[in-house]
Amino acid sequence: MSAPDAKRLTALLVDDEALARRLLREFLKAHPEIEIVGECADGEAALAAIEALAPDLLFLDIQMPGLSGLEVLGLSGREHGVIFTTAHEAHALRAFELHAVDYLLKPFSQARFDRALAQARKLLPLATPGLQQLVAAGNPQRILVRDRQQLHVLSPEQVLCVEAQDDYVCIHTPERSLLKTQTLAEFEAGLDPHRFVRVHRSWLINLDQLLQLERQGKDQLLAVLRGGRKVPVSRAGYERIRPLLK
Amino acid sequence: MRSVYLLLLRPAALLGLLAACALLGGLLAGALVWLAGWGWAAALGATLPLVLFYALLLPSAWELSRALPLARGRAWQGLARYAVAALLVGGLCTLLAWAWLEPAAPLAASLFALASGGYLLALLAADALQAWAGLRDAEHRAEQAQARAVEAELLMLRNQVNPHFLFNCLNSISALTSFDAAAARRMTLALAQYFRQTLALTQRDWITLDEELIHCRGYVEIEQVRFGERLRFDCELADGVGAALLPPMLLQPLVENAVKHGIAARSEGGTLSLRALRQGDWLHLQLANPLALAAAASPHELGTGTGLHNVRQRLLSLFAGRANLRLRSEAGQFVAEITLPWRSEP
Repeated sequence: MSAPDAKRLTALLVDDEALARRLLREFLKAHPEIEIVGECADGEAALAAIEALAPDLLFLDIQMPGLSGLEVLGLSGREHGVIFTTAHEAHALRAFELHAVDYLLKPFSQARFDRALAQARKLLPLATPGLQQLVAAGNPQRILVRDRQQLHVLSPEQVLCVEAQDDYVCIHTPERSLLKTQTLAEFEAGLDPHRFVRVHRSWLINLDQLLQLERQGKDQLLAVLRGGRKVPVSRAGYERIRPLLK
Repeated sequence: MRSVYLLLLRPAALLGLLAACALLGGLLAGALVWLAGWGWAAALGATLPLVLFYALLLPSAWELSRALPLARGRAWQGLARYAVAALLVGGLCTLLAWAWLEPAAPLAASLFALASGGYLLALLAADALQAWAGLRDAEHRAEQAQARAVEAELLMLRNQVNPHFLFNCLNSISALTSFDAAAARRMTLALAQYFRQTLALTQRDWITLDEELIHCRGYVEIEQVRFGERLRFDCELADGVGAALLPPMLLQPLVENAVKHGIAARSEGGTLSLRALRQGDWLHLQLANPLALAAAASPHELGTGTGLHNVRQRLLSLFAGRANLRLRSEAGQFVAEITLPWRSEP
């Protein structure tokens, strides 16, 4: 039970199962200082609600239609006040390793729920450092990019190369280029290292799309990708790519 | 198969053979000295080379019995083959002795009888030994087949008790207790009924399609408590197909997989549609579910689940290639299709 003078907090409940959301509501009755500002049944709705409502606390299911809970965090960039709810222990173990956030393994008791809540509140103003790391390791099979209101889903095979631009990465596919708010290092961490190679301080290429290496001038080396795009290769980049070409 | 002659390349085997030859040659020479009054040197000089020659012929009995086992064809034919081989070997030895030593006729006759009889005995012994080894081998293969079947059953059971299904159900029950105790009780009972039925059905080798379907419906009804309107189940059986016999838990994993990928992964849910029909000697079962949207499903998720893998393994171990599971996606639907030999109660 919380102290009567506890600060008022807002919470968003995200779970695709109505009963699971209802249970969270039930458990939150014991915490009148927490106001439920919304409920979402899928990842995309959650993404919109997180931005519109900026809740202090987020109860987030992992397996959901559309976007998973981890992908919601990745896209929203949210780093604080998250409590995961899931029936899958594998996710939980990984989160504990990273000291990311607390996990509620379904089914859970009121006492367990209260403990997770207390823990989350204690950490509240701070970003939890492991969270984005957890998110980055989420699903290397697809790349999500939000461009204004539209959500793009790319599979890694489609990507030609990725370019660092200040705080963004620009993802180039044969058809289009998409901007994503992430550093190149973070972006690279979520990809298969056997497929994507950092050939330059600000360039990552997809090895499957590489046609050849071309020498230009005395020191300059270029990677020629499918479709004719050329990407600079630094000396260190060449050292990284050379063993993979054999 | 390696030739038994290769064994002679091993020093231990060669020494053993030579020792046996020396012993046998000594005994035979002793007999010559004792019975025919030969001198020891002459007797040993005669027997030792002969015995050595015979010893080199003898392992061929093993090769011969392996190539032409007694059990092949009629029994008298097998025996006749062996007898001819034995007489040939005896004749060869006698001929050699004759050309070299010119023994007296009675001595040649006993040599012939000894060499032929010994070879026949060797043939029979080798044949018996090999038949016994073959029997052991067959037993071993049967054991292996049995082990594979048990493994398939274990796969089925492990797949049945899907812990995440149970955990999610318990979470739903936990939610229901506070505002709809009757519904919580209903779900508890449905869950118990489902698991009890799983135990009962998996103890049988064959169940009817109707029974499997009742079980699948039980599963779907439980999932409907979780997913509500999002999950619909539509079942269409051709006349008389419900009586078909099939191994238990063939359809249930498909239904579970369809719920996981076709319903849980879609906000709007969808309909699972099951079709069953008979075509001549074959039973066709088809389950379709809407594909998750491109945004929701990564391509590798389709058809690689352990549930589907297990079904495929079991079909393989139970029908040895006469049944299969095919997966395809067409027109926004994921379709799983099982074809197996038709079978029904007599």
